[in-house]
Amino acid sequence: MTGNNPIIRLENLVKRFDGATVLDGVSLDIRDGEFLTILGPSGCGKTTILRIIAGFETPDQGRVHLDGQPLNDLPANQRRVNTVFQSYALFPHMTVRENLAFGLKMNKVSRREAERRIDDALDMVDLSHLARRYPDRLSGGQQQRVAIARAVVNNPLALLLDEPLSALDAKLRKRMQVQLKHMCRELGMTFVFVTHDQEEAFAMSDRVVVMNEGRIEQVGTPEEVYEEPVNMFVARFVGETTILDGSVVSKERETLHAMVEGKACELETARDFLPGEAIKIVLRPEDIIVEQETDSEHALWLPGTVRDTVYKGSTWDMVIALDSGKDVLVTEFFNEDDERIWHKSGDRVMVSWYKGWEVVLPDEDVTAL
Amino acid sequence: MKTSRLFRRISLGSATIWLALFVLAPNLLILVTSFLTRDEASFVAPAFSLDGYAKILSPVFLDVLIKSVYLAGTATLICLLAAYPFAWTLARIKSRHKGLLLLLVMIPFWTNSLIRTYAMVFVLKGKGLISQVLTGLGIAEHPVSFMYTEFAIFAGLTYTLLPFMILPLYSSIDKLDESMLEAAGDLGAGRFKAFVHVILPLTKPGIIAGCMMVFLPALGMFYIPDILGGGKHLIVGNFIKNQFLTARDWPGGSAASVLLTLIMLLLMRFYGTSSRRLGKQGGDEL
Ligand SMILES: Nc1ncnc2c1ncn2[C@@H]1O[C@H](COP(=O)(O)OP(=O)(O)OP(=O)(O)O)[C@@H](O)[C@H]1O
Ligand SMILES: [Mg+2]
Repeated sequence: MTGNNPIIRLENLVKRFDGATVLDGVSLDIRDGEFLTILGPSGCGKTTILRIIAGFETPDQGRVHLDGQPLNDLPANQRRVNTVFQSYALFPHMTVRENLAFGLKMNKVSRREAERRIDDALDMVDLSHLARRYPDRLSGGQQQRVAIARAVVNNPLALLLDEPLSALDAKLRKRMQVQLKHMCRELGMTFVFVTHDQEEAFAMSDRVVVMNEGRIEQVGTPEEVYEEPVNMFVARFVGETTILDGSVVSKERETLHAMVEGKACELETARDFLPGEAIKIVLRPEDIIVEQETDSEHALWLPGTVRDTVYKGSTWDMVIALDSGKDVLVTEFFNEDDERIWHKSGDRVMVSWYKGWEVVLPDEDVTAL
Repeated sequence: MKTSRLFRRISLGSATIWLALFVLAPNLLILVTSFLTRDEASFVAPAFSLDGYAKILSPVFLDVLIKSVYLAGTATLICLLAAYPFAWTLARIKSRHKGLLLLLVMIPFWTNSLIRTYAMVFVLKGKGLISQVLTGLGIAEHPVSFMYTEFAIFAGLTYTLLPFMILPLYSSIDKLDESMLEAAGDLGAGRFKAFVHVILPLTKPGIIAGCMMVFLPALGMFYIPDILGGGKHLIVGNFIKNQFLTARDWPGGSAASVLLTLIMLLLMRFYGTSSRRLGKQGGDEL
């Protein structure tokens, strides 16, 4: 990995298709050598961003820089980025080896150098023994590895991957996630990876870009995005959440006095709120504490009934229906030494959260009015 | 379950009977005739002879064959060069009128090609369309006739057979995934290299199918050289026709037909092997 200077810089990209705005002012610095994932719901413009970087689409506004050079007028075949297509797009009339050789031949790499690089790339994706096969004689996973090798072998400044794992089964998918991350480190190459699968994004990335309707909502490490979502969209899209309603009473420094689900409590937040403002409290399943009986003076405890329990091996998941009407998702981690009571469906419990783990956000549905 | 099997049997059966009656039987008759003896009174006498084949080994027939291959081959090449860009555009445009454009390609089929060939006369003759345009524009001083030239034959063959080139090319180009072109560009290929290394090989089945569908009928289209070429340029089709109708040499005509069929079978085999290598890509349904 090299420094933090951006290898790709997107400046205020705007793209419209038939009058519909698909990208609405996207600016992003992609650092050299990082594994960056673009995450967002279907149709939010992820593929369009990759296609603009690759040169298959021209933005209506804005600029793309690659390694400090403006790219806008450069055709796709002269850009030093390579794409792993979602459909793989392997050339069916060429063997695996010929597929890998294609880019090197187009870029006039010497024969000996090309042979060496092809061998290395095949070795890396574990396909040396299939070099002479035609793509239609390969399994989906093998084709996918050929597509990656065909792009990587050109030694691009950045590798663009558009949902390359979506056609693979769960097990193979996990394996490829690890392998891709490993390749990014090993080669020191920048990976820009598109997915709509949040788990996949978190498992692989140095940084995650969360998109919605043609805009970037948040950029950050997986931890930042998960633990400090900047708005309700990110909070809801990334991971399981429980969202409680509240309103601000007063604020002093980091402490917010508020009414939550009809009860007074103290919250921690760095954001500014006005008294009377409607707020949402975002809680992750592992933020939640569940007890049978409590000293309800200490913090906010909400009564509820356990509705479902799911044993997941290392964790114990529960859905608790609060008396106030909301559902709370809870994940408790097993601990050998713990003498904790494991709750059963139907148990009456009290629910709270670890102080300071909550995220307080303005209620956008209200403020938008 | 049972009715569907019955249906399968009936449909397969009727197709088989149809093929046997109208394809196999005539071809067998021709094959048999080609080995019989010529007879002035009843066309053929039921006695074995190789005279028919001796005739097609004669220098006269070889001349005709070479000339035919030249005429049909050139017409095929012209069709290919004219049809490829057209089929490409047709397959790539994102228009609602695509279906209509395809229909327009096929509409000439609805008119008998003999009639269309006579129509060509009015385009090519001395007082014809081309001549009038040329004199009108002042390019030519006197009316020019293109009739009875090789050019007229090429024009006629190309005009008649062009749709047979366009349709297989279209089907092959239409199947070509846009991502193939993007992948080629992504890997550094400019337009020309992408065409040579990716597009051309992937549309090869269409090219071969189109060439066969133009070349083979062109060898037999005797009326076009007759009408537009003024009978000066004989092709295999003319030769066969003349053997049957003028020279009254049925075994000779049959032997020439058998040869034509053999050439066709050989080309089809070649097409089969070359398209199989391309796997799922390309026009294997033709
Ligand atoms: N060539 C095009 N013509 C018209 N509209 C397009 C075109 N390409 C994309 N769009 C539209 O732009 C929007 C964004 O498309 P894009 O492919 O970037 O989404 P995405 O985030 O990659 O979605 P997915 O996760 O489903 O792949 C969609 O609404 C899509 O319909
Ligand atoms: Mg997409």
